[in-house]
Amino acid sequence: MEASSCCIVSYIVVCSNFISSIGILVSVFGGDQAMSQLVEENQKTFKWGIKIVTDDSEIKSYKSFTYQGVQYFLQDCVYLYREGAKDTDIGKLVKMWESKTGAKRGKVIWFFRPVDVCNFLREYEPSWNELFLASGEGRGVSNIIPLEAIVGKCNVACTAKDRRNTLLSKSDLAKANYYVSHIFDVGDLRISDKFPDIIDKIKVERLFNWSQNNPKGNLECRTGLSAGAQLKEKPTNTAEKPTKIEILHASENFENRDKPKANVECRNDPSANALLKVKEKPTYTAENHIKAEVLSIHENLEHHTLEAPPLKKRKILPVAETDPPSPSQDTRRWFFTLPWEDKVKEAHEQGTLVHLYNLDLSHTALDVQEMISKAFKVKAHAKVIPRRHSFDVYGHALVIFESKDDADLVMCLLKDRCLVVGEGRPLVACKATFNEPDMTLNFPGHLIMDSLKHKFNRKAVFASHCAQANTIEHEMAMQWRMLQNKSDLWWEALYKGQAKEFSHCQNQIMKHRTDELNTSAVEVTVAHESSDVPNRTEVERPSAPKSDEPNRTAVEVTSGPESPVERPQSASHPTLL
Amino acid sequence: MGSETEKEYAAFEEKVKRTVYLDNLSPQVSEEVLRKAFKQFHGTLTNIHFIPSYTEPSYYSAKFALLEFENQDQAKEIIDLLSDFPFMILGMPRPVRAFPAEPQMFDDRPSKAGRRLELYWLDPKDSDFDVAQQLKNLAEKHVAQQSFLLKQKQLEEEEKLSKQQAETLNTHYQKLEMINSALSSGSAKDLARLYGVNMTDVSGI
Repeated sequence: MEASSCCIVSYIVVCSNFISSIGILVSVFGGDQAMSQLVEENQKTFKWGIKIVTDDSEIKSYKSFTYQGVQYFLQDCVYLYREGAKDTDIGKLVKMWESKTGAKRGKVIWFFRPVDVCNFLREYEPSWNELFLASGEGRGVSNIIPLEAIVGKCNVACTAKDRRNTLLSKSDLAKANYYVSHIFDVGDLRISDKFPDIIDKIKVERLFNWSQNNPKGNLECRTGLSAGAQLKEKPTNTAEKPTKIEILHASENFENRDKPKANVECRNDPSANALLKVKEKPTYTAENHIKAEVLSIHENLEHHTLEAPPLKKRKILPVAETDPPSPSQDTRRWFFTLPWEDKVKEAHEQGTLVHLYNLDLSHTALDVQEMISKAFKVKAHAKVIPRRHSFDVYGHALVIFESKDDADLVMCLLKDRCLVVGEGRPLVACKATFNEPDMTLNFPGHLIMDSLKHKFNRKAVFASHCAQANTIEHEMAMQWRMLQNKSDLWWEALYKGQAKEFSHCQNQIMKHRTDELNTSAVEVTVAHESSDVPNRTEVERPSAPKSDEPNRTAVEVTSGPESPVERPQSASHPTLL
Repeated sequence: MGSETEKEYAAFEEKVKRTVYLDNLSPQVSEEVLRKAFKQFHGTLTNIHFIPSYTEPSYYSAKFALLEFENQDQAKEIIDLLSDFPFMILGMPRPVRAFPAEPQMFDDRPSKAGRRLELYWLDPKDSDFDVAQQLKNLAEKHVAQQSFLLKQKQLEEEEKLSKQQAETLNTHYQKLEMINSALSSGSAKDLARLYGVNMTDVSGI
């Protein structure tokens, strides 16, 4: 079950004259050299997906993105809405990228509704859910759109009887929102059922349906995230490569065409278990490029093909992704236990979560678990809460019990009796409060200039930076620094005060503990020896703690071994600090 | 077994040395943001871990993170840099602070070798039960004090400063806007003519 691994295959476009050895760049999100982040509300709804690396350093191309909870891939059909339009437009995403200004753009090839081209239909009678694919030269074939104009995904099936198109099954057709069987040529202004090879520099095969009947099965290829992967080109024909990567082809029809195929080589991950098949054809003498076809396979076994637009110079287009592209949650959860945070949440709901504190600072989670099993004979799962202030003397832990009864029992016991751990620290238990960190809360100190934003109607971009000394920002930062230092001071004061009170109390317990041990030692020796006063003091003196006064031990000895000794608490008070 | 835990602990201590603790992070900061932010510096970030704070009251929204670098020098460099210059991540002007990490900040630390766990029960009839109970009450009191300080003093002060700065910023902005509009609309020129002031002195703005 390799559902845990995402499957993206990287591919190279290499010119036959060059040997390529460029490392693979991975960036799941649109990070570029200028650290910029969008602080718009929409930031949370838009997220880039798989990146394609190109030589163009200003434009970052992608294969997918997530917007408003829906994930879009290349070749998806989308609804787009223009302000004031009566209906949405439908287009097919063929490219998506982020420009250097941070604007998210996509290129769509349009589908015309019958109403759009009603004047040119002549005798053709379209169905109510039919669309026409735009083609030809001229305006209206495709457009560059801002990706935020997308309002939804659309399922458009292509029913053209073209040999490059794979026909869909009846059920798939039924699922489709629209279907396409004709093109509309914007130059000729005519409907035609002959699909050209290229529509607006995009090969028409990519505009057809994806092939559903791929014989190769699962594709898995993980490429290294660091720049260590070396990609080499093999100039000669090789029928098959014995490496463990498999490439799928979108449609086998390609073999009929005289097109050069790609060389692909990926560094593979031991978990990948497919075969690599590379088909090579003689290159075009005129053009000298080799194109690779690579499919990425998601967990749902969907395929996409992506082809780089033909270029004379070499291009490397490796893609590796760290996150599974499916919109569902972390699939690793299927196989491993829930991550701690969810466990805590669950436990809190069920009432099995207990907040334990006054632990010693050196205690670890395993210690706590051991403690609990020793003391209460129940199993529990614990995690230590990290301590953020250096002077805090209290160690905290969150414990999840198996049942609510266990939790209640432990809390009761700890309240009524005292469980002392470590060096005189009685544990305190209380019902744990679980608070989801509120992300929408304003973070005091981050100022947003709303008026500026409205004025320029642009998204404010904050780059992480160090403030320069001559700006207003720096002055304000200094004020914050001052506040931070002040707050450090008052926390320190509080903790130090607490520590003092604490250690005083703790020493009392420790002292009493060692005294108790001493008296029990005395009891033992008394049983074997005569009741000789000097002897007992001999026995006791070496084991007494440092600050004990001699007369106290004498008092304990003389009061007799049978009864518990009265310890004058007031006597210990001034000396132990 | 002993040497293994020792080794583990030694490795952990080494990790602590090259980890930086960041506080005053905005709640919207995510791992990618941090990675990009710290790409500007020399060090290579190997690991980022956000310190979870689910028992913390929800009104305190700051985030805290542990950043692990490749070696101790890189960590030290970052700490020094961030203490010399106010570094802003994902917003301004509240700067992020960096400190060297401490073992207690890690919630997954291994246990130190050679420690024994001792615990014992005290019942009400035990003589030092009272003292222990006293200590328990003290602990509760202290924890309550801490949360009070957090809410009352800390948060309040932060919000106060933030509001104050927002006002200042606003007034700056309005002032500049006013100047801008006066210059562009030509009323400045008219006034200059009226008062006989030479405009070329101020046109450099």
